Parts: sequence; structure tokens; C-alpha cells
Amino acid sequence: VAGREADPSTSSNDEAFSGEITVSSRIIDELSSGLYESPSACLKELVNNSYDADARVVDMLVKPDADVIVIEDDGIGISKAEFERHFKRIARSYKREESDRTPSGRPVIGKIGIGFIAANEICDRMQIESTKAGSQERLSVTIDFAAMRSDLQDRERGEDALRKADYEGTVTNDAEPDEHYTRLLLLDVRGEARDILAGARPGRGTQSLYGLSPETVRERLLSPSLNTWDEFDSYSKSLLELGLYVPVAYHDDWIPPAYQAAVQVFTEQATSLDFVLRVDGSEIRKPTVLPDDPDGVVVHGFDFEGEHVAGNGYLYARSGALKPRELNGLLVRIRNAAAGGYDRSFLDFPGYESPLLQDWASGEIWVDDGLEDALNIDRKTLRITHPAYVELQALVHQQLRSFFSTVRRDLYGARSARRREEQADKQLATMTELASSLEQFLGKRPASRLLRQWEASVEVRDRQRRRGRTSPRAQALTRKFAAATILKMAGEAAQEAGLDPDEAERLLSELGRILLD
Amino acid sequence: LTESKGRPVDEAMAGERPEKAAMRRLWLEVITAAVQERGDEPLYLTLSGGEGKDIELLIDHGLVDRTETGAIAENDQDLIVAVESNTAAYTSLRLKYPGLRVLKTSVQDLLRGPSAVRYPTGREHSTTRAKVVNLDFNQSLQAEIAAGGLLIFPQLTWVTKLALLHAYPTPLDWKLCLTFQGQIGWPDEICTQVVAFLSENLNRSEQFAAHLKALLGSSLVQQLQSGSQTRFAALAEADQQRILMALVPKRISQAVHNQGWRLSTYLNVRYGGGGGAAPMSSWIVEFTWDPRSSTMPDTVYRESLASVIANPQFIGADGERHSDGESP
Repeated sequence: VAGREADPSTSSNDEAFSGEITVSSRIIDELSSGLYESPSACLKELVNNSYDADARVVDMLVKPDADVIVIEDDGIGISKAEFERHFKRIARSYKREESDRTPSGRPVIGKIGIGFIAANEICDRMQIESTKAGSQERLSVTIDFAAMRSDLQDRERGEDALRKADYEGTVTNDAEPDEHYTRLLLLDVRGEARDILAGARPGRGTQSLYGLSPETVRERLLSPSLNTWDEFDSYSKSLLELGLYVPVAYHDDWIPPAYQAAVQVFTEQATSLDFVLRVDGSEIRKPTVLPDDPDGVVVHGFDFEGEHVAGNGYLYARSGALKPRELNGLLVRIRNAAAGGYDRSFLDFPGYESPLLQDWASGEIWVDDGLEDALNIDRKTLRITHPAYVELQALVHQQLRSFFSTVRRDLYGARSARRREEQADKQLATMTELASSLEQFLGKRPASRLLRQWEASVEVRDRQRRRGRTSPRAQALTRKFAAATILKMAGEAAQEAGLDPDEAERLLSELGRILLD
Repeated sequence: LTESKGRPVDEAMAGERPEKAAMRRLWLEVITAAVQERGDEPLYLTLSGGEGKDIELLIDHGLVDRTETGAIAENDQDLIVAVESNTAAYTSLRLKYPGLRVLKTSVQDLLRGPSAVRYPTGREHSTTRAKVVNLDFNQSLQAEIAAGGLLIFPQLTWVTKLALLHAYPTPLDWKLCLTFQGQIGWPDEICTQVVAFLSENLNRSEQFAAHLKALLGSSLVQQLQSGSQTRFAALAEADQQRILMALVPKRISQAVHNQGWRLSTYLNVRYGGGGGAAPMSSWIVEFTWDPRSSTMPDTVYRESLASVIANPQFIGADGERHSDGESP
């Protein structure tokens, strides 16, 4: 705080002060390091940079060792002048200086322009090679991040500047005029990041998605035995996370065919971006693959529009906890890129309203630029006090209430009814066995009469089932009674059947012994 | 996206000349034979260039499995190691064969140059111990007079180092595929030393002398022995290739027999030249561990020498192999 002269209107005993608050380069230094929770989160920054450079295809090469990671795109490229302007001094954002759209019209994802620097979190050096269409200039620069790991006092460069990295490069004039690309080589990938990306980290799952086609990946993700992405090795899990974060297409049939119309707008939106990411030759798609369910599925598409924010989305639920669990929750997309992963709290939807059903659901909302200001620098979390967020929360919760009400009726109710039917079937089977076993004791005819009486329930129940309802008889079959109630009912039955007192006493005594022992 | 266009080495490697295709088939034979003998070590270490035509051949012949997207199968990722320092070629190789282990370095840096005291260690050491090593240099054999007046051939010192790396910690029999451009552009002082080296060996081994005469012709051998011809650049293109055919395996045998290796020159061949593609000389040399080296090094060396130029060949423009040599 820089002090200013005291306000002369105050008395001599009071101390008034004012000043301006500035931001230190140290803060920028801190903000441009340690932002990302995982290697895949760092890599997504580089892939999103390619998207912002109008690339249509990005190839990333990781395997077998992840000791050198290559990311090559067919985007517009970068010149020496642009490199130096953007990176020589990281002081302001140039990313949307001229337009918040790319030359081809894509909404620019990056906001500040420090995505390149994300690489420092997983490697010690980064080589950039690039050329732009119409230019013969071919840029080659190697950035050495060693400087940023040295002591702060050694990095001070006056005028509130801190040395972040060193670079050296060359420009040659041998590019073909129609060439345009950017090639990044992450060199000296650091130990832990290398282990994670190569899938060599111990103690993780063993299933691998390496070298698989999107069709096979989709099948693996739909496997009923898959509970969590943790069952994949760390390489494969990183691929799934990348697919979640960057604006690639959905899998074919990512949602059961019967519900595709409800989400067609999102499928088309993702496809229309015409952006392909391949990792080690395998095309990466969004890992959102939602299963069909014999008990039914509920899908609800919706639009919303408020004062600060607008967008559209869909909600999906199946009967039972959603697997893999990483898809459980709500994913927010801003400018086609995910803001973090699936939020299992559904934007803090009150848990008491539908605690069970929330575990069954997944959804995505594609929000307009109104929410972007609420997006924190990590592109993962949203500021919950921002007016756009508050409004979005209310709008989405309204949809969720209606959705969970449908889910409760159509899925939860149906599932409960089906369970009761199953239990009733079991009861009937038991009673049939009982009737057979009573034949010897009561004789064939009485046992047969008993069986007919009980079987009558089946016919009634089947008629009810055809109408899609649980029958009152099925409910009766699965009814539970306390021991005292059974004894009372037995006493009443003995009287109605005209048993003599001794027989009735013996019956009740024996039944009491069986029930109460 | 990436095409490693422009570098002569990549264009040469990408070439589909019948002679080169014939050489690749010979490499394939050697590699296929090595599959059965392989343990945990890499099967094949190669300087394949950005196109990786030799790798393609291994894949096409089913020696390397691929996934449904064409990436090298995880179980086979330890089979092949490519060495490439050029960024465009490096990227091209990895794009073409996802999952392929490519070391972004030169073979010189991998082997720590000609230094006699510095060697790759740990994982890099293991990587160099392949059953088949293919050093397809597509450049001339370099020669220099080192400090102290010693004649050295840097690329051959790398071969010597590879031999030592295969000897420790446990000896591993291996095969070397080696190729140089057949033109010799050494300065006179180096040519003089090379002539002296060949002459000394001519005088030492009658068998080697007979083989050399069969290869170069008596007249040229006589000129070399008398010292009247010491400018290799003035020789016919084929004779320059043949000088290398004699010199290179001879030099390697000499350098490694003390390490414990007995060499068998399985193939000694020249191809190209004649105004078309560059003239090349190429060898396939088998390194077999021979404990007699510690007690009878001269015997082992002589046995190695016997095969050096016993069966020189050339590959014609049609890709067929023929015996090579002038009549004695």
C-alpha cells in the first residue's frame, strides 16, 4: 500500500490514510505455477492452445516412456515476433486482444495466455517449432524452466520482474508457404508426471486403453463391471481426463439410441467444432458414455435463460448408482471446454431433496460467456458468489427438482415395484413347495385346495403386471408381520375354522414356540 | 502433419531402390533369426531415419504386433529402439509408429562420443544391448588423426564401444548391420596411414592378401603396397567402395578381438553408384563371445580375419546379389 497525505478534514488526533493496491509480479509468478492438479490438466492447456490456434488435428505422443512428449498441431502457428511479444514478459493477456474468436470463428478458450507455461509443471525444457502459412520463417525455440526452480532472490530482475525461464532459439527461412503447424516437445519430463503419463505409476488399475479405437474404448467404458476410472492404469485415466476437458467429439452412440434425439444438439455442437485429438494414434473422444438400463433411463434436455447467464443442457439418470462414478454429477462447459470435472454436488443442490437419486444422475450444461467471468484461473472451479453463478445455480436447481421428481416416479417407483414382484414370485414358489410338503400330512385334496387358493394370487398379479402396476395381491404376498400379529391371526383363524379348544391351544402353543424361539 | 522432408538422409532412407530393398531384406533375415535367441534385451537398435522403412518391414512381416489403431503393441514396445536426433524426423517416426521407443539423441551422444572412459549407463546401457544393431549411416566413413598421431575412425569407435557394452555385465552375442557411403574423401595424410595399415596386414596374413587381391586386383594391391597410390579419391568409385569393404571389417575385428569377440563377416557388399544413387558399402557382422580371446587372442583374430573379405558381393540395380572383385 503506497501511503498518501492525510485528509486535512480530519482532526489532528485521527489518522486517515488511503492509497492504491497494486499487484506484484510475484503474484503473477505464483499464479503461473502450481495451477494444475494433474499432468493431464497441464496437457489440456496445451491442447486447448492448439484449438485456439484453429488446429483441426492435434497429435500427442506419449508412449512408451513419456520421457519426451510430442504435441503437434496443424494450427496457424506462431512467429518469432509473436513468441517474444507473448512470452518475453508475461504481463498481460494478449489472447483475446483482437477478438474473442479465432480466425475460423471458434470462441477462444484461453483467457490469459499462460497455457504454454503450464508445461513447466511436468517438464524441465520445452522445444517449440512452428511456422505460419504464407511465411518462410520457421521458428525453433527451447524454453528452459530451470530458472524458475532457483531461489527467488536469484530471479529478481528489477522493475518488479521475476525471471521465469530462459529461452534460446533460431529462425530459419526454409518453410514452404503452405506449411503451418506448431510442434511442442516436452523434454526431460519429470519423474512423477512421467510415471503417471506412461502408466507406470504403481498401485493403480491395470486395464489399458492404449492403442484402442473409439469403438473399443466406448465398449470398455460401458462394461457393467467398470465401477471407476481408477480401474484403468494412470495413462488411460489421463486420456479419459483429457477427453473430458478439451472440445473433442462425443463417442458414437454415447447415449442409448432411444434418447439420442434429446441430446442431439450437444452431439452436433461437439462435432461441429471439427477438432480431433489423437494420443499415440488413438482418437480421443469425450468419455461421457451413458448406459441403457432394463429398468429404464430418464433423459431430459433443457434450455435456460436468466439475466446474467444462459445456456442449455441435459440430465440423465438410470436406476441405481451411476458407473463409472466419474460421470456422476454435473459438468459445466464454457466455450465448449469443461470447467473441471463432474460436480457430484450438482452445483450444491440441497442433498436432503434427493440424496439417493443424485447418485443415479449425470448431466452437462453448456453455458454462454456470461459465466466465464466466474471461472477461476485454474479453469476448474467457479466463484460461487458471482452473480452469474448464483443465477445459474438457481436455474439448474429448478431443472433438477423437476428431473428428480420424474426419476423418483419413473425409475425409483418402477424399481421398487419390480422388486416387490420378484419377492412375490419367491413367496409363491415357497408356498407351492409348502403345499406339496403338506400333502402327506393333510392328504392330497386339502393340499391341492390350499395351492389353488394361493395360486389365484398369481393370476391377479399377472393381470396387474400387464397393466404396469404392482398388484395388491403381490403386495399382500410380501407383507411382513410381527410375531404377535401372526399369533393373533392364528387365533382368529382357529376360531373361524371351528377347532376345538384343545386343538386351538396346541396349534397356538406350537406356533408360538416356533415364532418366539 | 509431420513429414521429414528435405534431409538427404531421410530421402535416401525413404528410397525404394531395388538395391536398398535387397539390403532391407537381408537385415530382415538377420533380425528374424535373432528373434529366437532373444532374451529380455531389445531385438533391434536402428538409425532408421524419419521414414523407418526397416521398421515397417518388421511390422509387415509380423515380427512386431500392433494394436487395432496401428500403434506398437505394449508387449512389443521393448523390441525396437530407434535413435534419431533431428526433431522433424523424430516426430515423424513417432507419428508413424505410435508407441515406438525413439531416443531423441544421436548415436554419437548415446554412446558418449569416441571417449574411451565415458559410456552410457543404466537404462541407456540396456537399450544399446540389442541383438541386432543397425548403423545405417548414409554418410562417409569419417577418419581423423587424433592427438598423439593415432588414426581413428570415429564411427568405428562407436562400434567398438557397442561391442564393449554387449560384453558387460554378461556377454550377449549380437549382429551388426553397418552401412557407409562408399566415397572416400580423406586428406592425403589419412590415406597414407590407411595404406600403411592395409599394407602391414597384407604382409602379415597371406589369406588376407589373397582375398584383397581378389577384391581389388593385383595391380591396385601392388600400387598400395609400393606406396605409389595413396589418393583414394582418385580411384574408381567401385574401388573406393572395395577399399572400405576391406578396411572396415578388418578394423573392427582388430579393435574388438581383445574384448572377447570373434567376428564373422556374414555379408560384405557394395551397391549403388554408377551415376545413379550414391555408392554404398554395407556389412553384416556377427559378434560371438569367445573366451579364447583371453588366452589365444591371435587365434581368435585370425579366425575373424578369415571371413572379412572371403565373399565380397555387389547388389546390382535389379536388386540381385553377385560376387564382386577384380581377377587377381
